Amino acid sequence: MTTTPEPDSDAIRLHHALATIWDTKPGLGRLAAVNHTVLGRRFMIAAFTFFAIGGVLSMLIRIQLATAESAFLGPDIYNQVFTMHGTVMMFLFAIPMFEGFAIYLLPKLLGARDLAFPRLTAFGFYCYIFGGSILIIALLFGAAPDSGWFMYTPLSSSTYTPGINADVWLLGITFVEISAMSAAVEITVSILKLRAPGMSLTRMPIFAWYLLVVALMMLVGFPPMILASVLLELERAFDLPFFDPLRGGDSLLWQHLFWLFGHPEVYIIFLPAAGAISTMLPVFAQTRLVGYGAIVVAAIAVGFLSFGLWVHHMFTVGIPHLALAFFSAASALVAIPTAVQIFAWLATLSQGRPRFDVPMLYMIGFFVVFVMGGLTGVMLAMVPFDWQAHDTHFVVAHLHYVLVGGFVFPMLAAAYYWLPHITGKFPVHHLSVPAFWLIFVGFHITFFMMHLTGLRGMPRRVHSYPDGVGWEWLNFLSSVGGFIMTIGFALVVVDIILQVRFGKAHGRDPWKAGTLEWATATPPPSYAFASLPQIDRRADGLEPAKIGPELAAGKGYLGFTRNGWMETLAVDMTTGKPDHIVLLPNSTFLPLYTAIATGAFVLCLLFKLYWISLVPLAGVLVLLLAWTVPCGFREDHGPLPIGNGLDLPIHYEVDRPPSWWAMVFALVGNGTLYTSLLFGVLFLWLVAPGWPPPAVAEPGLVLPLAAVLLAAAAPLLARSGIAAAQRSGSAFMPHVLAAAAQLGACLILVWLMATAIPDPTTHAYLAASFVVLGYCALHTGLGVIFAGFGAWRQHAGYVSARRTLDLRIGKLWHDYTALSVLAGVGLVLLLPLLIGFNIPSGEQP
Amino acid sequence: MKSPATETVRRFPILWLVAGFGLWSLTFLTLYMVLTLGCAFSWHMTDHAFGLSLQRIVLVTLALLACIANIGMIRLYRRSELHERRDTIGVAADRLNIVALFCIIFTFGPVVALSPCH
Repeated sequence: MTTTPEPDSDAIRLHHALATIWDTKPGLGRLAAVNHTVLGRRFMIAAFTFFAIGGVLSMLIRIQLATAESAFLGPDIYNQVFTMHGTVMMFLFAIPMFEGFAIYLLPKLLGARDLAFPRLTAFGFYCYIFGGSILIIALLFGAAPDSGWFMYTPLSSSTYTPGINADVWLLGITFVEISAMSAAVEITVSILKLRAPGMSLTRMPIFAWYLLVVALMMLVGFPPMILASVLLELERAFDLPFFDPLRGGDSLLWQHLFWLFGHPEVYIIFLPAAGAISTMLPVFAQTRLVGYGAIVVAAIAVGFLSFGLWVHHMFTVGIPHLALAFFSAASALVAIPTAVQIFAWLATLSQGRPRFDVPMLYMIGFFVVFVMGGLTGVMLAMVPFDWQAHDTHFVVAHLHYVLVGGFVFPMLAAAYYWLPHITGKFPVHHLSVPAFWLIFVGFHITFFMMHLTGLRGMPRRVHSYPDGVGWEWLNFLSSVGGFIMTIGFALVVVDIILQVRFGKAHGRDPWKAGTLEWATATPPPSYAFASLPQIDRRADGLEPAKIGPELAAGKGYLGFTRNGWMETLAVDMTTGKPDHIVLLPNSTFLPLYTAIATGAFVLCLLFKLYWISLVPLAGVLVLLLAWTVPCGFREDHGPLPIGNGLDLPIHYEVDRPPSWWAMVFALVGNGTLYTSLLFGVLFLWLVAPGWPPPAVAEPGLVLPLAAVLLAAAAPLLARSGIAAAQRSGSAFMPHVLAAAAQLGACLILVWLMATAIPDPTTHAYLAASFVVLGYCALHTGLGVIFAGFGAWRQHAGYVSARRTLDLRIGKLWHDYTALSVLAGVGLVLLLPLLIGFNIPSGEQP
Repeated sequence: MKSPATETVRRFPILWLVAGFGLWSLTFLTLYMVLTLGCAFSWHMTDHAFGLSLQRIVLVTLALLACIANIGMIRLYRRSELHERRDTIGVAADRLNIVALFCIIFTFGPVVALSPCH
């Protein structure tokens, strides 16, 4: 006889059944983890570790600058230290911390069991760890990047940085950016498709809106920098002179591409923190968020406007007044939607009955610090002021007020708010309060002084300054403040350890929040929800303490297990109506192996073993193909029950499942990179010195036209194959022909690269033509694989009239490739004609 | 018969949220590119009607076209199903289109006065 009530025993049985399927295996099996809760935690721990490393580097900087003419660090080491401080904080702490946060939280906020692509999460994590490790190991060996976190050319070009220092940055950061791009695709698709039934866009928690905007910004913002890194590495490795003004290149091209990423990056860091504030603040104000709609408008406006500011980092390079006005206006404008958010938060506080707790303390710190940083930002947006303060410590003060205020304080608030969720424990010691005051006071002592040193003319990035210029006491105070702040952060670490070790257990929803993540058990189980909820109102006004037990008892959707499948639901992206069942992949070592192979490829490039690098590159390709092995079925399933009387098909049998959307968004990112490349070529034509080139490409007309036609034939053939499959369930030949068409186009493009372009090391125009054709060749080459894969899936029985997903994803690639080849070949044909025009003035816009 | 663009927007009304600022972004890139092109080819040195340079005429025309397109977009949106729903997204899309118009005027207004290539 059992004394346990029936519903509980049902809940426990369901828990065990789900845990068997979803749990990460112990021991080495941990390396095969693909679960969002596990990987989100790992991301955050790793990011915090890098934050500590970046913090130690900042201490070294402050020791060096504490006194005039200090001999603590020599200039070479100092250059590495300040470069790595910025690099670590921006690339290895801020972005990954947000990614980890989003990975951990998003499915739980949205009422899903995991993100859309768990293996991609794992792959991104390992790329991040390996890329970050390359940078840190280089630092330990004294070979770290030393050209500043912005890596301006020509300082970072091989003439002035002949060692591998700059290569470490270019390759290591590009490796890490794989993680960011994969996270961007994953977050975008997960938010748009993997929500609880009933959660329409208008009912989404505000945090999801912010993360959606940020993920889309990353998709468009990161590719220009990835392109810049690739071009600079090509210049350093193969002498293709994109940034060399003596051979038709221009160092300003680097600045444009870098800041096209670099400025949106600031908002990419700030907006997730703003999302956290918008989620936490109403909980402590004990009211609903005021101006939900206005905040959505503001977040989207910030997302766009932040892309119109990049030249405000380049106000002093000699740009015409009119262009300066565009960027200055956009820089000032962005303050308005930011202020809308601030006022909405203040209105929320004034409308509610605020209760003060630790997260609230850190949020107040955010308000003070961030608003001060925002005000100096508006000052710097004004061109005349910027000309005075440019490259001084005033800018250092501003950026720290914005980034620490806009990210670190909110993240600390978020840490204290969600730690009870992650650990299942509430703090019993309150070191967090003295820690806050140490950080807050230490921060102002450190960085407020930099406004003053900056206004007194102290330049950035100098390892030493002379005695008697009036900067000494301010710098000394800055250094003292830095150490006070560090003690505060150390206390936070101690406090978190104490909470994890000695905290007291709590029930569901300890803060009395209204968001879904608090409906899970804490710490959360691997499957997040035993069954998925139906949402009937805005998802920040729910009752998690009431919903949670019902979901745990399996009273929602998918409250059962089936065939050992890891199932979650996808919805219509606008209405939230349940659309299909998504089957997620089980734990696997493949992401780890693929990241290792990618890392080996990067290391081969770093040590200039170019021919050997083809081996790990082939390994990456094979491993990625191996990812597809467990995917798909050889038979149709039709609609399957999901509970509550509803039947839905599985994602292989629907029109637009998450993987289809993932390809769309991946191509958006890819297209941004390509567009940046094409615009870059035109920029060089118009602006760079050293034009016209000594020789032009002579591809003729026949071969380029043949390449375009073959590339255009592939999508048409793919379409006919899909149509045939949808009619009869079988169409092998069109995909074989599509592969042949892509192969033909690829061979022609490679032939043109080899024969039609004179030595590409002699001029940026020739190098650019070479790279554009190379991009097209690469895409047609991958098109061969996509088409061949389609043919194989067809042959192996994975395709039927209902199951054409693999083919349709391939078609997207073929469409994109056809357009790319048309644009690329068109540009290569057009450029000799453009060069024929005489550019009379050569003025520098 | 509806155009493919109209049909896409009907299927994915979320696109209305980015329409206005999408236009702002496109205008930004176009104006900056045309400015660069004009400066390289000395369009600002040529005199045309009313003493205006070719550079000024082209830039002002493009900025005006962007304003007109944005206003047209606002009118088109107000006839759409999403606008009629008047839910959060519907209102947000309307506001975003209006804010984008303000941003176009504010950001590109200087084309009427500032020296283009100095």
